[in-house]
Amino acid sequence: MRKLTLLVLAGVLTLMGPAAQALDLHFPGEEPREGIYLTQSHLVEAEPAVLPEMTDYAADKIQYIYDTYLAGTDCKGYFAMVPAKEAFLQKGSLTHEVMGRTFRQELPFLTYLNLAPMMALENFYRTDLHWRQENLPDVASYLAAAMGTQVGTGYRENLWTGDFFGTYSPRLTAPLRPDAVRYLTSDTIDGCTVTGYDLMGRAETQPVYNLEKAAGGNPYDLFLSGPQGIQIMENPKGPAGKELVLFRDSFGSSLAPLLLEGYSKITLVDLRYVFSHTLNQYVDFQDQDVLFLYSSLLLNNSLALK
Amino acid sequence: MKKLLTLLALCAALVLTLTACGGSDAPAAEEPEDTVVEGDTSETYAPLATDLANEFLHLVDTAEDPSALTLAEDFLAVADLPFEAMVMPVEPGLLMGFGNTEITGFSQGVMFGPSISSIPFLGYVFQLDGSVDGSAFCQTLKSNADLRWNICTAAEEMVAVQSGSYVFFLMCPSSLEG
Repeated sequence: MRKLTLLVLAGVLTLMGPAAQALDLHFPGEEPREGIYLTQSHLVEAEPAVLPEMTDYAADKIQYIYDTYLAGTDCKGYFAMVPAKEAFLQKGSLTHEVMGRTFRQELPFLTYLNLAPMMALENFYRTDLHWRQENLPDVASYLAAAMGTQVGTGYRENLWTGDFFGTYSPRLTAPLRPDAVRYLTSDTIDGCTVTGYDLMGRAETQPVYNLEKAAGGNPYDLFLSGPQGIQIMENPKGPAGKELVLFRDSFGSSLAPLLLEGYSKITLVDLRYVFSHTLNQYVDFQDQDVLFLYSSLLLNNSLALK
Repeated sequence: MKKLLTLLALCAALVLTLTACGGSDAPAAEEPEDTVVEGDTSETYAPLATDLANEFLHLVDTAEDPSALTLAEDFLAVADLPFEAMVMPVEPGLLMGFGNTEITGFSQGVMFGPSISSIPFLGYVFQLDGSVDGSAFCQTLKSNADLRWNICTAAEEMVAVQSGSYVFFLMCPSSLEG
């Protein structure tokens, strides 16, 4: 009987061999598979090498914005980059440092704000590329202070009731615990208004946190309703005349509400969804703070900017 | 014996579970429906992109001495798109939607897309240089097109059609409703 049991177990282990191997492929530790690997409890995408043509294109686009809209005004320009998750691993990517040097050189008219020292892997969702809003108040405080205003760090934390299987999850077949999506509210955020634009360019009121959108596909669309070309957040209790124009990608959606306390108006511009030569239809550049806040992922794929 | 059978059943279930989790590759990205044909889009499986390409082909047939710009503007005028769209001239070189590959071989080119919308809709009209092989040009567009060019949204259909010296290229969702 014992012999039979051993025989059976040996057979089972043999059968398990390929499956176990396959699991190893999905959880390689350090070796990327499908560009994704699991390490330090996070799914991480291997960052591609910096593409000079892409950073040049991004710098040219920002230069165009500066020359066309900002030069000769009292606007003050800033640049900040969100490093990718891989930058915060033990043997992290240096992409953001290479890019940071490039943009500091190519955009001398903007004040460079370095976010990397105040960020860590824990700032990001485990299964997604985006950062977690509940871990951003310090980043928002730093940016606000650098731009001459103040925001608090006292927020009410809310839990969205769904599971968030981030953008990297479908690229693995192995089961992985979903992320929780938390969002921060305050009297300032509750009292603000958000105006966006519909497909025909007509203004429409939108929520800061769009629970319907979150339930509709990508839970990160909770923040400012996901991809949008132009949005205007107005804070009736904000410092009078203090305005921000935020050129951003999706990382700006979760950050912008945390900057609201320091401004009476924040205009968000995503150049992937609005043509740069039409911005004067939506923004009257005069004396605003103008922050270019982009992820290194987008800056290395900058042809998406119109 | 009963215990052994139970153990066997559990082990078998475990093997099946592990195989299901790890034995197959991650779901492959959906292949776009696409086509490269000259003056005919009948053998395609990309309904929306094909319909729009047919609109373009009809325009080319009926236009007198058109330019890439006028064709694109006329296309947007007749296409009945549920969003406001805009046309912009482009030069040979790196173009939105084709990654890090330079697109060359055209004397006139325009890009068109939504004025202010995140709908993954990106089109081009090219007038080819005289010596350029239209089929090869379309193939270059197809093979380098990135349906997820803006990272956050993704097109589902792609079409590249040639009529004479003009090429129409489009990436779009499978439906523009809702």
